[in-house]
Amino acid sequence: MYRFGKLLLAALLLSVTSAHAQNPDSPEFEVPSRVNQFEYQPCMACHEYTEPNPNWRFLEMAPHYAEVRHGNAVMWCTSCHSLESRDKFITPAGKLVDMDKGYIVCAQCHNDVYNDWMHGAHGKRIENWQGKRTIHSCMECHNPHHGPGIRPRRPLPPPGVRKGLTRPGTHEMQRCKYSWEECVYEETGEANVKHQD
Amino acid sequence: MSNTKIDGYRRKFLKGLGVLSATAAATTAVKAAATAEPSWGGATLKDMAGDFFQDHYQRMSKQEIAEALARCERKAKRKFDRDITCSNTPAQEGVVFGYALNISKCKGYRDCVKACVEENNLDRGGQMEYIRVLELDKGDRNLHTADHYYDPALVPQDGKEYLPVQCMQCDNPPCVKACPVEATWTEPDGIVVVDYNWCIGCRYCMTACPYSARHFNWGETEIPSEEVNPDTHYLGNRPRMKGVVEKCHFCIQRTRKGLQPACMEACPTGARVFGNLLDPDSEIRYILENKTVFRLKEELGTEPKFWYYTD
Repeated sequence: MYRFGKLLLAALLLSVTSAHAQNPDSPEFEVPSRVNQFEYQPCMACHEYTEPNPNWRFLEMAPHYAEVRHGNAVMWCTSCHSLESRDKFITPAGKLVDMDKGYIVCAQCHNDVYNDWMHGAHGKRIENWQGKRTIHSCMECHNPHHGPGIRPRRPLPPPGVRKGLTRPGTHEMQRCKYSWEECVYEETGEANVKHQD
Repeated sequence: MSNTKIDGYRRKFLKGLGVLSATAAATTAVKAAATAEPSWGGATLKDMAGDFFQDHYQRMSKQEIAEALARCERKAKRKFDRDITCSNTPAQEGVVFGYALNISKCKGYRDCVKACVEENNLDRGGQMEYIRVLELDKGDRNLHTADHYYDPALVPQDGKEYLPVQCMQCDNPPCVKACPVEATWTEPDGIVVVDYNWCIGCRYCMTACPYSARHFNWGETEIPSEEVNPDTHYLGNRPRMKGVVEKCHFCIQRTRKGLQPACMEACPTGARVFGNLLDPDSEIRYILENKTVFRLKEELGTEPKFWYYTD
């Protein structure tokens, strides 16, 4: 299975180069550095003293991620991180990639998304619509170790209701006859959920 | 004979009335000038008169616009106790704005709504919001059964999708045709704007808009002084008065300077893309040419400049 995964990666790597050839005039972009956001950095500060071990295992003692769930466990640390120089990424073809250019590694498999991202249909541009184009790197939103995705969360409060009216669906729809009268309506619950922001 | 007599009385009466009102105005003016204190609810007579006699924005001379902008700043100072700048940055050459929104990415967090309220000096009581995020069943496009009051513990909910709706800045805007006083028009960069001073509050435009994107200002806007956005535009987010219609203007005060609209900047998922439709290298043009896009109520012929697309 692992070998098959590697083969698949190599095949996709080829397709990525052809995609580049198809879009030579993709708009220019800049990606803000993420390296200084890392908790442990540089990696070689510790890994200089550890023996490189390419075997799959649960990293019990490590201060960083103990396992990789990305790609249904076909992948492991060394699928993306270079075994020899830990401060670099590595592509399946063996090319070393700078930590700030991680999107090149992502593009090896997620080629179609990469294409959209490069052209602005996916991902987030920062600050302006005109002038220098700065876009967030993939890892700004997607954690590659856990499997990607933005987590569900509480939405911000719903719109207010004008005085004298009731919110449809939450109360008995019973409008007051005159706007200066106090409205009396039956609550059906869920209407007055408090927000904490 | 008797007619002349009545005419004489009438003339005398009118004359008296004229003298009386002139004296009253003069007294107030003298009083205001002498003490340099604003009267009548904090406004000086000059500002009151300036507001009252102010012409339509498109008919004002440069001098008159400058005076109107200064009045707008003074008014905000009185109302919110805050120094703001009211500008009238013109449209850029060769730019027509368009918006695209990825509904596969929108999760219904309503971050855009909050950013919009804060940027555009909207009432903090939630009486009016330019953006409505509709919650629909997956695959459903019935806007009449959509719910924009959704409030579950977590979004996105299973089997639901989210569709933010705001002003589409139509190329063939029915609201502009409906306005009896021409207080709303399309700017050269495609933004449909409102001259709040010229609006009479009849709300015809609201009934004409098929997207319910226009909103009536039912009450005085209440914003804490420190939360007022001091960077305002005359046709955009300057403080509005009670009784006028307002709507999304693609953050005219930001976008004309090259910045993103506040909703796009706030979107945590990057679902929103804004750009120049006339620039063939822009992101929005890539989306229109390469993605599956649709517009709301396209069959009405309003030609909205707001597209929705999917991954």
